[in-house]
Amino acid sequence: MTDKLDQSAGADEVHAEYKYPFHWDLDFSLNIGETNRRFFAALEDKRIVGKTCPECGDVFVPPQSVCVECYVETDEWIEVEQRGVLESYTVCFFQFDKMPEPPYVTGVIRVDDSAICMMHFVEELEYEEPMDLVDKLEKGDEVEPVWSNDRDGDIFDMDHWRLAE
Amino acid sequence: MTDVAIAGYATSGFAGETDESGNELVLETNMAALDDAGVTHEDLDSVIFTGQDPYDGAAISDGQKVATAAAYDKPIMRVQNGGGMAIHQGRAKIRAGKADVVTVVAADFVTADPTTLSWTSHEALYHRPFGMNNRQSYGFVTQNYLDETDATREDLAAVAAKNYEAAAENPDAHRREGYSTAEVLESDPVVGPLTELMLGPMSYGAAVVVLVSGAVADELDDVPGSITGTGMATGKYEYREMENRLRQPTLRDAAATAYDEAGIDAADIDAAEMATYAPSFELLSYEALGFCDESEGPSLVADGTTAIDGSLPVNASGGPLATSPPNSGGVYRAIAACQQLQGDLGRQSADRVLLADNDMHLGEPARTDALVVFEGGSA
Repeated sequence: MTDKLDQSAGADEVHAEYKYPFHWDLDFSLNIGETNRRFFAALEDKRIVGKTCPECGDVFVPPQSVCVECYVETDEWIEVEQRGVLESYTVCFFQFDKMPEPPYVTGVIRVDDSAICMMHFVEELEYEEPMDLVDKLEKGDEVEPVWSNDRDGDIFDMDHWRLAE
Repeated sequence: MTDVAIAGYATSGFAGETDESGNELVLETNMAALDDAGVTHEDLDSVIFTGQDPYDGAAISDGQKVATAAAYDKPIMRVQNGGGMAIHQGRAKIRAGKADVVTVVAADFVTADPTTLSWTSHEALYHRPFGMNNRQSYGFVTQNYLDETDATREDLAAVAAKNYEAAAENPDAHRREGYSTAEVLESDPVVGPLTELMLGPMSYGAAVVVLVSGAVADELDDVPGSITGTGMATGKYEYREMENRLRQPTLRDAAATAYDEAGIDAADIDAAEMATYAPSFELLSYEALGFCDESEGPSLVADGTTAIDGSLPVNASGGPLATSPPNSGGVYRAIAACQQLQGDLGRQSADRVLLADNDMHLGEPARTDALVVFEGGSA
């Protein structure tokens, strides 16, 4: 439970001699369920799949087990086009744990005609100053995935997305 | 005769550090709040803690505060969606006849990075791998706000500067340096259009409010205020169309419920304290709460309406950009609302103050909005 202490957690502030630094290093394992398993298995084959709502017809990528509007279980799997539209994006200028060196861009991507969006990194953007990145994208830009050569069934089987050619 | 009143409150005030333990903070603040209300620990029927385990660095951390919160042998509850929702639940408990005196207790005392902690609240398979955290979620909404409207980064900075001007007059606020619009714009970029001074600090301190039934309020000499309406709503987690997020439907729904229950409309509100964790949310909230027409949010800042000396002060406390304790924020904002009713905060007299609280310190997806209408005295 307790291992090497990170002094940046404030142990050197206030009266350091009265601080009690501690660190949690816990392992978790999540059951991802059948719906997610099929999505990630398809990514391994360089395919993007979603599920549809039997009542309203909405398509969900990533797949959802339930339609939030109709509250019915989704039933049908479909393969969708490997094109997306940027619904939103943001440039991160600060170093965040296990994330790329800043600045990096995270996009909220509507894949094909999905009713919901997925998140991924948007790369291959040329810029001189970090702040230039903010103006490199616009809501509504078309984007496409760039597949990883080393795929093992997780979200990074798509290495990143880029502006569509 | 009122159904639920705020009989008293106390706060330690907030800063960027504390040398007190959580229990020392709770004990000192809770005793002061009970004293302020004119009740004793024996009068206390129930305690609601508001906070989250990650910010306390311990699981079921409220259990460790039972003694100092005078909660021994009383029913306790922990509400994780913030002080506004905790007050909503405390009021419900009193109105159900289960209690006459309820405290809402909150404290922030463990040094940790709130952005990293917020990351742990996000969905594991599709969001966390991309570092999704509270600040990223504010960036997505704010970028869309600028893309979809005529609002500018200067408008965002003006909101922050207005709040810092108010915080400079508030002895309980954390950031009291009074940053200008230019200083806000020139501070370090953090995410999207948002700079460091467009985002709140991690603040430490404690806050306690004492809720009482109308019968108890009638026995007390004086009460700061009454709760005449509340409303709550919870949003979707997944991102769909961003236009919907800009409209803040949960805030609109919660406001409609609270206004209806209080028998008021937006024009009847004298001041507001809002859990707006980025300037974009404050501007959008003016519209969602009916303070102005669609897309006119920036004009309320430009013409001084929502400044501390304006006709509708918003965040006279300085708001979350100046003071942002993740566990205590909502309870503190309720106190700030009551202080305005009593003429102890801000420059205006206020008969009716709106608290618009939420749990967006963790991030914007699946937000829960909790609105409370406070009116002076035994309404």
